[in-house]
Amino acid sequence: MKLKYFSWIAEIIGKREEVIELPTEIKSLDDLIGWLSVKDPKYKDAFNTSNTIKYAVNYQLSKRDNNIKNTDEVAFFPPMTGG
Amino acid sequence: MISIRRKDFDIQKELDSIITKSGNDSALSIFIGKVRKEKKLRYLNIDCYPEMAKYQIKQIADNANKRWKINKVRIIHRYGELHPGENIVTVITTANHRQDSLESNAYIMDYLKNCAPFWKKEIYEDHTEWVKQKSSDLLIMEKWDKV
Repeated sequence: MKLKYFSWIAEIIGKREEVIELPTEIKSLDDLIGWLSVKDPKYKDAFNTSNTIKYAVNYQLSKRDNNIKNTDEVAFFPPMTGG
Repeated sequence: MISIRRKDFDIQKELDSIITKSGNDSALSIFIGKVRKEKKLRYLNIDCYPEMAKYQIKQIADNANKRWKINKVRIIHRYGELHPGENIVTVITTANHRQDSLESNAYIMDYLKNCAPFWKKEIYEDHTEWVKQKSSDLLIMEKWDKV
């Protein structure tokens, strides 16, 4: 699974993207966030910094209880401020 | 139709190109967003998720196409290091009628600001700051649901 991080989330985690092998027990975005948070405190710091973090699966905004699979591209970012 | 890039755009060239393609359209609207000239602001660093930006902006333009009778749409959004006065974004819409052209243009910009994956970081002389989404921008976007 490809993971992407943007804005201040990328700064806290210290990378913009990575490829992981999704453990079979990880079924949802919520599971993934929990798993990453245990793996490294940087993820926990990033995810706990704000309750406004948004998630996208394959370029579409998703909710934490959405199911995910190993072939998905998952992105983490704060609310958008373009224009 | 949609371009996400670092490079600046030449608005005259973009206009010439869309006018050539838009045939007999009698209305053309342009929005250009630029970096504010603010004291102590050195530049903006705009982060972007280009693949998702293209996907999301296409959805926004498709929705605009369903609501208004528009013919051509050109949307360019830049990312990277942009200095005060530089272009950030342009939206050009053409139609047979003024209202279709103007309203679709405003709709695209309102949604783009809140739904396209770009994030501005302000680099001041003495500190840096990620721009926060404004609730007023969200309200402006929501007004279209009531129209």
